[in-house]
Amino acid sequence: MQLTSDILEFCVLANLKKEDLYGYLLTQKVQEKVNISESTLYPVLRRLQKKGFLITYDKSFQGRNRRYYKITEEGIKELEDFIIKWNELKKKVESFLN
Amino acid sequence: MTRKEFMRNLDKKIMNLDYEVKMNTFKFFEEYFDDLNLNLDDDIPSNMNFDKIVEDILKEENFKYEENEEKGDKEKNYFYFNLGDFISKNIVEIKYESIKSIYIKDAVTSIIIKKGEENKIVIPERLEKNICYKNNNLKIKDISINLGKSIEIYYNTDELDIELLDIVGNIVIDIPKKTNICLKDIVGRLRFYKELTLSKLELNGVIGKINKDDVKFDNNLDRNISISSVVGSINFN
Repeated sequence: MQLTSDILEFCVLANLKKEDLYGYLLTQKVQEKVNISESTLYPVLRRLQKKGFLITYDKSFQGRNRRYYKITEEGIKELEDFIIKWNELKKKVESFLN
Repeated sequence: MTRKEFMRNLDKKIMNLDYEVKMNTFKFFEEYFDDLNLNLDDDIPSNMNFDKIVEDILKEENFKYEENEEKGDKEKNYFYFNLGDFISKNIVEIKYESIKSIYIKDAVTSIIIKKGEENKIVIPERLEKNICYKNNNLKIKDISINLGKSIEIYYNTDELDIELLDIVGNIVIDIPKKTNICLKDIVGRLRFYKELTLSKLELNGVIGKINKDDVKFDNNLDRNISISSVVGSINFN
């Protein structure tokens, strides 16, 4: 079973709510829990950025810049709304399964 | 596919997206490969599907992505506004009495600037309208030439200032004796050669390897180079 890109967006936002992350580390964190390919996240990050749910900033690292992704207030609100809807959906699905 | 091949192919596939989108995309993958400790000739991870990556990026930017399997030529389905270069052989040489400065902005092309017998530019005829030459200053804006092709500018002077901004393509510069060279927001390989003793060299925000072992410094010269925001390697040799 594959995650839809919508749900993947919220997985990304949930990770960024804990801490700001750069592309590679963010991919590693998501890959620890769900099976995605190395390159899946870039379009997701781009989409979230366009929606105003995250912003980027550069930070120097060993003589080069790393681009960090940071969740915005709008992103946090969107994530909180999603969590409420997700819990409702989960209950409904579980009522069928149990 | 190696890292170098990946970036080169990506450059071709997304060449018509907005400049900022392209820069961000290149930056993401260059950074990603750096974090994977991949050298240019190393293979990218096996689960990176290049076609899928391009498709997703183009979809995200509302760019039409279709494959023409019948003809086996995917590139024709992109909007190539420089298609004319494939079918036109109308390359013109425009000669100038003198060139004091070269300014190029918003260009998708490789650029070669080198010392020659004459002051001249070699460019597809259709781009002649994008050139402005006034008071010995040569300005070129908004040009796009197919990858693998380049515009060539020859100068026959010891003093020449060069400013290149927002360029996607490789750049080769034969450094003039007296010069202020400013390069900013470049995606491509840069090579500087011949006069490698400089008075000043500033490098900021370069994502890529820098080879400046052959550069020497002499404060008495008037030969300054400033380079910022580059995705690509830089070679002085």
